[in-house]
Amino acid sequence: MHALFLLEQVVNGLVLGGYYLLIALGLSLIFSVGGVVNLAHGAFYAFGAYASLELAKYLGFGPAVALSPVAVAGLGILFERFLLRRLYDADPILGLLLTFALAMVAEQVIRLIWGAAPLPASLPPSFKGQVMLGHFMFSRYRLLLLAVVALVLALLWLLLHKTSFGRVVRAGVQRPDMVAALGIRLQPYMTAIVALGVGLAALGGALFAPITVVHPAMGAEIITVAFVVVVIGGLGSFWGVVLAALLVGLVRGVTIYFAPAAGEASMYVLMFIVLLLRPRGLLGERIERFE
Amino acid sequence: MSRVDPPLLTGAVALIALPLFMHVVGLTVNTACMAVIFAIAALGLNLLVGFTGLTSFGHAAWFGIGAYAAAIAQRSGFAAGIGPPILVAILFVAVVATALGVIILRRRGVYFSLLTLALSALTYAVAFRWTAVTGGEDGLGGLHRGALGPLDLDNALAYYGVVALIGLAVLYGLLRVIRSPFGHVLVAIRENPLRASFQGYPIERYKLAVFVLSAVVTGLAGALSAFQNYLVSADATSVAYSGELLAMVVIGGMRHLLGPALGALFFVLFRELFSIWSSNWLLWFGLAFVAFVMYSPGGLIEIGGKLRRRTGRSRASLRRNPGKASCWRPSRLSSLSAASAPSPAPTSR
Repeated sequence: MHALFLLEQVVNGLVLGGYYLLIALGLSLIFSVGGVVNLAHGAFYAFGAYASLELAKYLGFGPAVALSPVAVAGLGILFERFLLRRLYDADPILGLLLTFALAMVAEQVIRLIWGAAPLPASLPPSFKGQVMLGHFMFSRYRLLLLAVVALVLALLWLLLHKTSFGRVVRAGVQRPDMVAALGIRLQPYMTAIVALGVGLAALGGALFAPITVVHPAMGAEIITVAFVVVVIGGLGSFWGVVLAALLVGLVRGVTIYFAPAAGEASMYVLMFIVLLLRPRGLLGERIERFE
Repeated sequence: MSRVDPPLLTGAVALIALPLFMHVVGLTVNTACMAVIFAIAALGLNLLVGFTGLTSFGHAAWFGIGAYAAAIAQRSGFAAGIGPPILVAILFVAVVATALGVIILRRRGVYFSLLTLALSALTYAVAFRWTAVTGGEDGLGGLHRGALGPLDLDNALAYYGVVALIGLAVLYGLLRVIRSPFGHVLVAIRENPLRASFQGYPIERYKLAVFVLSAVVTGLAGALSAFQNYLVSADATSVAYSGELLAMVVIGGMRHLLGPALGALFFVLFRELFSIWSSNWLLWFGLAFVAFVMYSPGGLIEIGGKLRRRTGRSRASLRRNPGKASCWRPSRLSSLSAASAPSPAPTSR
């Protein structure tokens, strides 16, 4: 029976990992292409959750989850166009400071619009219920989440590795000067990457709103976790981030099983251990610009 | 009168005038005391950010660890009064900072910032959850200040006097540090780590030393805040508070010794005066922070300097003084289409 319960925690951990993954992937993309650490990324995640709640009032749950990332991606384009763009060639610390300040402002804006109290986010009845798989019982919605995350992951991988868009982006990560010398302007690619990354974060917010708490500080809470995932996985590595997100989710899930209070602390300990053994993260590549 | 250092003199005058000033604007001595405590913490942080070029996003960790160490030392009866618990806090922070500094300083630049951010989140998680030691959500209360000779420290003004004297001592100490050969090596590391190492300086050891010193100064401020509030809560170690400390440093001016102290005063006044008018003062503070980062990364001190130059010199010399290089080189804030420009990290060559 204990083993069964532990296995349930493992699955919950994987769901948790999928949730971190949606946020960490966008963060890692923006970081590796633009060289900007987007500390405001959590704010877009929170906007995604709030926007989906707002849209769900008129359109219902499904369309709201699909539309809110699109709306937030639009916001992301404005953010890139008017703020982030000034930072690409600047000292990276300036980007950290600016996006940190923006995250602060965004959280207050959310408080202003939706109030400080957590909002209830309910799941439509059609998504409720449990599924029996052999001897195990899983919540249907959590399994659906895993499937959606896997689908997003596959699409993103195809986009980055099998299209000309992805080739330019990956080249831009390693040698932006070379890409520019070949006559390709990286600017529109960067706008697209920011919109994509921010949209992924918003999708995470919208999808996970029903099983987490929607409150103004949710962005600030997720952002440190997302960074832990990126740092563990290694910058610029797609699979590194995937591996790290699942690992962090798993470690957290299992730790919560044995010592509930230490759940949050466990991932930071994991990060420090990984960094001691592999300073560049699990699968991190050497990127000259960021050393 | 013997010669007194200008920053030290400014600091001393400001510390004497501060309670009077607070009284005039309708605030209490306790607010003045918090301003001085924040100023000490920000001065400690600036040792890393401004002088060594290591941007720590998690200095609230040291503030909180110092506060909790002092509180636990006093509550357990291990150390009485306020002096011994503060010493315990300083020693404890020094030991922890040495151990963690070895790990965190393995990474540079942005990674260093992210690791310090994670450190702050970790200490918050521990402080919030490890109820047996830290009191969890309730925090640790029931602290007492005791007396210092005939002086009853429960009197707000008396405690302010103690905090102000400690603040002045910290200022003097930091002044000595940054003017010493050690301090000059720190600036060399900030400007060009590779060249500093070619000069034969063991820069990793220097970084660790300044990391520990910075943590200790901020931890001292944390211990003082514990007795100021008679209470330590997990908020003292949160990421949000780390950001506020950093905002104080940036808004005040990181390239001047007294800049962060000015930033701390700005923060406290902003919080106290704005919260009268508006319940979301943090929104306006955040916007002010954004404005400073984008338009005046040199902070209030640099704005003051510019104004003085504008009135004092001819228009021709208004252009940025080349001797005082601006810290972020705003000229490099160009678009990505100029990506062929030199890569932002001269250290990688």
